[in-house]
Amino acid sequence: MKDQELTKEIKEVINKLNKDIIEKELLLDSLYEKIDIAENTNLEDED
Amino acid sequence: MDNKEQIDFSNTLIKDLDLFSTSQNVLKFLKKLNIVTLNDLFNCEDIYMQIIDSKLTPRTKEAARALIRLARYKYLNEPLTTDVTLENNIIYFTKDGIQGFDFGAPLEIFGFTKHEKERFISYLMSQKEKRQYKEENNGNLSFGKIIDLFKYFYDNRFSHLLDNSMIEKIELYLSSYKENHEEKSNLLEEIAFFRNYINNMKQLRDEYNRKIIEAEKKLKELEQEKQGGTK
Repeated sequence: MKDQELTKEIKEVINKLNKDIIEKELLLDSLYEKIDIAENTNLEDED
Repeated sequence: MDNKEQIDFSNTLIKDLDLFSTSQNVLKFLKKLNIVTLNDLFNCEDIYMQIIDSKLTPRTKEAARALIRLARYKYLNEPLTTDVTLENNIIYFTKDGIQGFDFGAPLEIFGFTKHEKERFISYLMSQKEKRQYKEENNGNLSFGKIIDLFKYFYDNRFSHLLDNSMIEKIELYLSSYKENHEEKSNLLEEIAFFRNYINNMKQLRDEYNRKIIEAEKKLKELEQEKQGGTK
């Protein structure tokens, strides 16, 4: 029973960490995309 | 190619496949390259170079590569090359000290059954990892547990975000459990594995936090630069 509780808690932690990481990854990709657009826009403005 | 199933995938839209959160980035990325069907995916010769050149997080790039390789394996019966190993981030990856199961997702995207997944994991595992993890007979961390674990991630991917207090709580719990169960050596090995795994995930999360701050700073600078240029 104790093992099951432990497994459950570990899974909860890992699952939540994983979710957190994926969300940050999505945010980071989105920021990189915005940077890409901003850099291109600035280059066009220079032209 | 003798036993290749006759699957007409040519017009299958990638977006209609069951995608997971990380893979949404991959989908977005492929769409940018006008790759919307599986057929497009197979006919895009320079896609690997485009992925390498793209501005995406390394994990998204790895997921994109994994998606293509797995699609070709599943639908074209192409053999997996030897460089597609667990260490190369398909299912269980170890890179720069960071570990994860994240790219089990592509397996499910392409409808692999549990049996296929087990076979696939077995194929991809290096001998070292097989020795380390495939120890069902003596009760150490088993194949089944690994599979269940990464499956669990994706079955429960909408749960609440983890906060630091929760991490501290589990760490305390693990420490306490270790003290009280010294005789359970196999279980302790599992706990040690998960502790290491959790710590690596925390490191990855912290690294992303740092990169997010840097990216936000960079974006702000670019916006200021643009405003300065348009004045």
